[in-house]
Amino acid sequence: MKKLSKFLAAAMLGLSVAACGNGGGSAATAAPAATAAPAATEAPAATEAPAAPAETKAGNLKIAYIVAHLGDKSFADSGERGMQQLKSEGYETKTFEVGDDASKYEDQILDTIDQGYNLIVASSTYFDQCHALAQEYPEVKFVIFDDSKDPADLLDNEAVIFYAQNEGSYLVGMMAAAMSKSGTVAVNYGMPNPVIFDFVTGYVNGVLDYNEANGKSVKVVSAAVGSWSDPATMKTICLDQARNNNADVFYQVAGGSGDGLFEACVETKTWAIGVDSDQYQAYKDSENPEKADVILTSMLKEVGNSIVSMVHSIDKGEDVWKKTTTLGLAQDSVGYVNNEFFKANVPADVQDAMAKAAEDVKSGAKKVKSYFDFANENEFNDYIATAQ
Amino acid sequence: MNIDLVAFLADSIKMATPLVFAALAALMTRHAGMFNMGVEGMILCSALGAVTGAHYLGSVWGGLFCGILTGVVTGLIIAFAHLTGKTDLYLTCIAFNLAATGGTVFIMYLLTGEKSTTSGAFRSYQIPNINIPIIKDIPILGRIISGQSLLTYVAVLSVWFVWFLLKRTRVGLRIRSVGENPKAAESVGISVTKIGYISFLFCGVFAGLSGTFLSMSWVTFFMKNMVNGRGYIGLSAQNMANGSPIGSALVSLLFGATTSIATTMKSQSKFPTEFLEMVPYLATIIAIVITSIYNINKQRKIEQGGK
Repeated sequence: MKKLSKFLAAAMLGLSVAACGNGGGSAATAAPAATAAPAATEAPAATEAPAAPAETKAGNLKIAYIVAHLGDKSFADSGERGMQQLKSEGYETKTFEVGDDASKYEDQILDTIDQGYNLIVASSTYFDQCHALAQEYPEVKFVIFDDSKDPADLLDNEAVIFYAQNEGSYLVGMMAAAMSKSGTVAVNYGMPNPVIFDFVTGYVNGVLDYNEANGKSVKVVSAAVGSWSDPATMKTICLDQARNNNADVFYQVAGGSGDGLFEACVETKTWAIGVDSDQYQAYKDSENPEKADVILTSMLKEVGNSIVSMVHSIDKGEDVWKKTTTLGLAQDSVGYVNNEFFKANVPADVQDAMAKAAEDVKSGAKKVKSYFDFANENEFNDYIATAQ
Repeated sequence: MNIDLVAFLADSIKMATPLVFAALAALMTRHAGMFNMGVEGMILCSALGAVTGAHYLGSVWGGLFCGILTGVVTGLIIAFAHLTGKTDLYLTCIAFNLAATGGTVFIMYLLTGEKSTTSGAFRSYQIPNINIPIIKDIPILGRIISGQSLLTYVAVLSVWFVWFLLKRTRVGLRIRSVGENPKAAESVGISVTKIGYISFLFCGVFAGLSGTFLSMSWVTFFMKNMVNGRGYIGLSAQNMANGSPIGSALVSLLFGATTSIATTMKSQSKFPTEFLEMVPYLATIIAIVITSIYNINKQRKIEQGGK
């Protein structure tokens, strides 16, 4: 009962504090970075000798990382790990959590510039605000990650990082098709947007290529939850797909809603594929390790590593400005988790096929379809329909 | 693709459960004359309270208890502000809902260091699903009615309980009289404030059950904003049913069915998601308009008959 009264007291206190603090602007925190380490891919930044440029030039760059909230265990936290690494290399970095109110983004980013930060790192969510400020403050540099822009739309102090999430999704799509006994696999996402469609495109491409190579006809169903934080709906969608479509491998690209997918997979004894970071490991280390045993692999998107290598390139004076830098399998910025659970449950020939496909993509022999190749959304829908 | 209709109906009942509880919560204060929009935030707090309780007390029932307790405590906070502090109820409820959105994340962060979900930090507990003997063996009906969460059956009993409470007990009569005409009730010695607190107490219990269902039955963890407007839908359900407990439950069931249709259509990926997102809310608006027209006509007939 003592414990109970304690947390109730905390609950009451929290409510009153949060009432004042909710709109209070950017709280800078040094939140503990999540510890899930990438398993399969070697960090490109870690292999470069980081000490040399850091000591000589670190004084010039003050890096501000703009993020809505930390603690998502994937995208935002991966970026935070990159910040921690840069900090340990001697850079001055600070993370600003700006919340969900888009009308306050520009002011909050402006605040960081006023505080003397001259390299702003932010995701595509903040592109418009950063673009406006980039015109006003030509001496401040902006790195926007997870976006794809035409050079003509960019300024001299803007650099864009784009991830070839389609390449990583292609490989897990191949695996999903190979692992499916029922002949139907699923990919469920939070909300429709171009980057998310790129995941879906790659996944469908992987399934179709598997079908072609093996003479099968595995189908893909996909659905949008409509929210990044509605696991209840996600769970229902997956149960529905398992029941009505016999789907038995589920790939989640849904942020927080994805937890609902894993629960559905536990309930229906089907396979799941995680996203962004190693979600098998995250669950294994948690209070509910049994939920990990459905996650065959996770499609990795190494946001943190990419930011670190981008900062190193900037420090070396490389020309990254006014263009989009694409990072994919070849740069080890996307990939899949290749852990013991994966090796124990995925047949060796499938593993080999994935490794070979990865080599083909890296060497350029295989070009994975991307959402950004399509002229419009209808073309994308037509492509998805070919796998249904 | 062949859609399993029986499973669809069972899903509708599952999806209606949190709405039924939300509707009953709103209904309790409505009959005491208060339109409690804070139900949404109360459910959110209860969802967190339930998983937290289950984790620290190490049992499902501890979680259920804490979920209900959180509902009651949050209800009493609103009641205290409105009844004792004489604040405007709408403003209080809006402030409360906003505070609950941030506050739940803040408390989750204090307790677990997580800002998005407790799925890793708290042990998962699930309220058991109940197979009813005999009924479960009836071919189609068994699959729909049997095997639901314990709380779904509690919801059915709650509907009857609320009806009984309001129509057949002294407290219920007082709640209704305060709602109809507080001054008249006061003049015959009924304490409006006390009755207000009692109605918020019941409101809290049902909001607590709704939150517990979301975080310990539907899924087994808490996530920020996981209520996603279900409190508001429950609120409009009881509004449409004009405060009738059984009517509220039926309307909730209708909303459960529309949500279930939307989800099924989503998972078949043939329709634009944006449209499907709209369906439950669109159904709400259409239903409100229809009931409103019906009520106006009824009123008009009464007035004409009076002449």
